[in-house]
Amino acid sequence: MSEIIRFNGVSKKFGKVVAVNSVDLSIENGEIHSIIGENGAGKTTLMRLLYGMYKPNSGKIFVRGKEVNFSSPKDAIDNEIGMVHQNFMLIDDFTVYENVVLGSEPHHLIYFDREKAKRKVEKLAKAYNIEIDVNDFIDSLSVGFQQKVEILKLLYRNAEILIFDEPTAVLTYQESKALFDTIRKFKAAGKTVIFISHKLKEVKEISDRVSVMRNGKLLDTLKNENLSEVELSKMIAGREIKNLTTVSLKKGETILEIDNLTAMGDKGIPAVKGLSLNVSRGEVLGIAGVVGNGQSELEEAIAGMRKITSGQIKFKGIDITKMSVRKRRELGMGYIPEDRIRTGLAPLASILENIIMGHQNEKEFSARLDFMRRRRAKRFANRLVNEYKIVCKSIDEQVGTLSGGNMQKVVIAREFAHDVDLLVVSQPTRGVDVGGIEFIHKGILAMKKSGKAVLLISSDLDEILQLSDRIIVMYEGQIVHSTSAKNADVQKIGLAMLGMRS
Amino acid sequence: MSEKYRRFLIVVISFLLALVVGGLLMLFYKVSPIDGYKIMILGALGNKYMIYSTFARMVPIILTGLAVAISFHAGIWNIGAQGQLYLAAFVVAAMGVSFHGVPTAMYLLLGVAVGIAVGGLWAWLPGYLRVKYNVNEVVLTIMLNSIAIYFTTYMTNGPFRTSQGSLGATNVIDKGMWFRHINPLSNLNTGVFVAIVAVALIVYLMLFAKRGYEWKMMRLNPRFSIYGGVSFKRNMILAMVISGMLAGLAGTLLVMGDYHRFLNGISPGYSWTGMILAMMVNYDPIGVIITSFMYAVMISGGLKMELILGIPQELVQIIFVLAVMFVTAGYSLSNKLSNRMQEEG
Ligand SMILES: Nc1ncnc2c1ncn2[C@@H]1O[C@H](COP(=O)(O)OP(=O)(O)OP(=O)(O)O)[C@@H](O)[C@H]1O
Ligand SMILES: [Mg+2]
Repeated sequence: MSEIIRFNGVSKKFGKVVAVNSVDLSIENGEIHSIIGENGAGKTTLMRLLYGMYKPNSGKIFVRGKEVNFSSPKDAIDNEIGMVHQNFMLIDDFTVYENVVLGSEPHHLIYFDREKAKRKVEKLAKAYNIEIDVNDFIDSLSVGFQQKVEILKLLYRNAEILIFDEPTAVLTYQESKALFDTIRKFKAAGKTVIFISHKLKEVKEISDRVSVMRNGKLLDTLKNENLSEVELSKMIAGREIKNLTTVSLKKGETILEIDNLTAMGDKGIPAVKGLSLNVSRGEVLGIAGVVGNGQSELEEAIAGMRKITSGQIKFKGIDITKMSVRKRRELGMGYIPEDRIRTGLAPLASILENIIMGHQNEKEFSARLDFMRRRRAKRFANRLVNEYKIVCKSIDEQVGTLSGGNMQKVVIAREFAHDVDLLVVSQPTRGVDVGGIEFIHKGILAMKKSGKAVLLISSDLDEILQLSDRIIVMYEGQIVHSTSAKNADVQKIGLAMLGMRS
Repeated sequence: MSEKYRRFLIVVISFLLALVVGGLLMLFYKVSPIDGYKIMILGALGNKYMIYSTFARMVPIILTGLAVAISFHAGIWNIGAQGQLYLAAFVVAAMGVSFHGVPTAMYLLLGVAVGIAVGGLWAWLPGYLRVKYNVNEVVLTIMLNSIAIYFTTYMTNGPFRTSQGSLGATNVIDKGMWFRHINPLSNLNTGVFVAIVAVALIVYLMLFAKRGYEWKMMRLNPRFSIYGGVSFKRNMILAMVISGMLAGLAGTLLVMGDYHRFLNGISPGYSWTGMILAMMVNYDPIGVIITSFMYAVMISGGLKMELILGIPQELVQIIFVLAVMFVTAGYSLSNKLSNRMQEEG
């Protein structure tokens, strides 16, 4: 095979941070090449260098043997390089095909030839097994479908080298499967794919070769077939990562009781339908299910961020159905939301301002006359940054400039720092590296051990199985299966997640 | 370099640059820029009385500037400071011409209280409608500006029309309601102490209180603030009301301290100047204080320049507008530069 891309001693600095440190990497034509590594290792930055979003401080990048010097993604696209980001850039009230052709529309004389555009996009989708209706409007599509549109955009522009930055982080299991089918088609068509993920199972499944990054450096590039998941995780973290196991404790008093809860989704359609559950001290209740089956609405209802239509929520014996978010927090509820960037963080605010949120009313940080004890807040933020190894310049840095995984850590650190009785935690390890996952899982189990109740919502079934004492499966807003962890039958749970009874 | 420091530097440099351009313009009048600015500074700060006058000029600007700053800081856009100022000023004046014989201390207190309350109420309305029915507060406050201004104009031409000659004003208010001049040679009156207290309270609220932090988070990500337990709606209305109270206070002090009556032209765009200042310093209250001071110096000194050197006052306006332009350009330039610098390390 011939080489299609070559990084030669490429470095990239942001101020004092060396995000990419003299990387030498060669990508071969037609391979699927995974890049893995800790949060903040420099994976995204390396890819953005290739995509023309940043310019390297030193080093050279070659595409098809020719040195390139991209000054914008447009140059990269002209060289048949395309990148799918985690945050999509689509126009909500345009249709699929309009978004795809936008910027290079087919013309008939001077008119936009819609029919031709549609036909072209449909043909592309078919060629790569991408199932989508090109007439749908973007805002009616799920994340998985929006991603398909992004991919089509690249294909439409003849991308031969496709970069995927954590594409599966927000996808359901089925959507990931479909994406992998598409990626395999790319390979079959001779295209080159660069794939970034923290999910080692996927890396193992799809890659030809794997490169590992740490601290901006490229550690090694290896053939996938010679590797095991355990070895991969060891290379990422630089140490052995053990899967944690949990021991059932004696259940304490009931902390959270939900009775016949009904809540609407954003579009006014019932999302949670008559759901009842309870969580006790010293236990982790895991809610499994495919994303989009009412879990988001349920977590928001518990946290007080979504009005419910009927039913009751009791927390420590008190009816909190109509209580404000603040009162719930003061009563001892912690919440790690699914959507970290939209809900759990203010990306434009500093790390300090983000970390103090939810703690601002505590005695430690507030004095009489509404005075805020900023010096203590700073000390607190610095402590958490050290404890959780959040990679940043200082606590005054904007959260939005942190790497994806480090943003997560800010939320996790903040909520773990509360002395709560109940922790509602949703998709806690999405986009987090293996070391981080271990850390977060330890944190959750430590909470349980210290007699707190944990409600864990995750679409990652392994995570649920690993941490929970009891497991329920949500499907279309209802509980369709419920079991103790001891008697859990993975087969049954898997079927229940798809709404099938065994 | 910290973000705040950088912004501060940009504002200072922009004012200096604008002054340089202003200096070049002075050459058209055959005046050396050095002399021109000497007269300007002397005219604004040359002696005690001039300093007093400059401070007097600063009062309405700083109050409206902070009014805008506090609402924008919280992410609610009060474009209605002008209307709040007018309505408060008028109601206070109407009270002052209607009731006599109230003991002075009480009348002063009452006047200020009523003025603040009217301003606050006139801002509460759009705040409430925004929170309750999600009506756009920008449109609403602009409408309420017109209503307030037409209403007061009508009143000064109708029921409250002055019997003392000049049109478009009320009668002089009861003397018991006057903030007295501190010195007969300048406009500065004891109302300035009320303003100082208000400014101190706002600085505390925005920079040291928990509320200031919560407001900022509401602006940066409303959903995040709600998630963190901030009472979003209450805080939003509160920011709006305090904003209106400040604008109301500006109007009140103009009536009780400066003109002792309500005039149709009582605020020649103070609130718009205040808004520009607030935006220029990114809603930072200290920044508002500094820039209002600079602005007041320029205006006071500009008068003197016209008197002595024959340079039209408008030159000062030109300098101010240039400064605003430079600040805007400076921000986008520095953002670009800092990105580049960060990237190049
Ligand atoms: N625009 C930027 N400005 C300043 N620092 C940045 C910027 N982008 C990235 N960094 C820093 O560069 C380092 C590498 O970040 P990068 O996003 O490449 O990591 P990553 O390997 O993709 O991590 P993750 O797995 O968490 O997404 C981090 O320390 C990050 O804080
Ligand atoms: Mg990344």
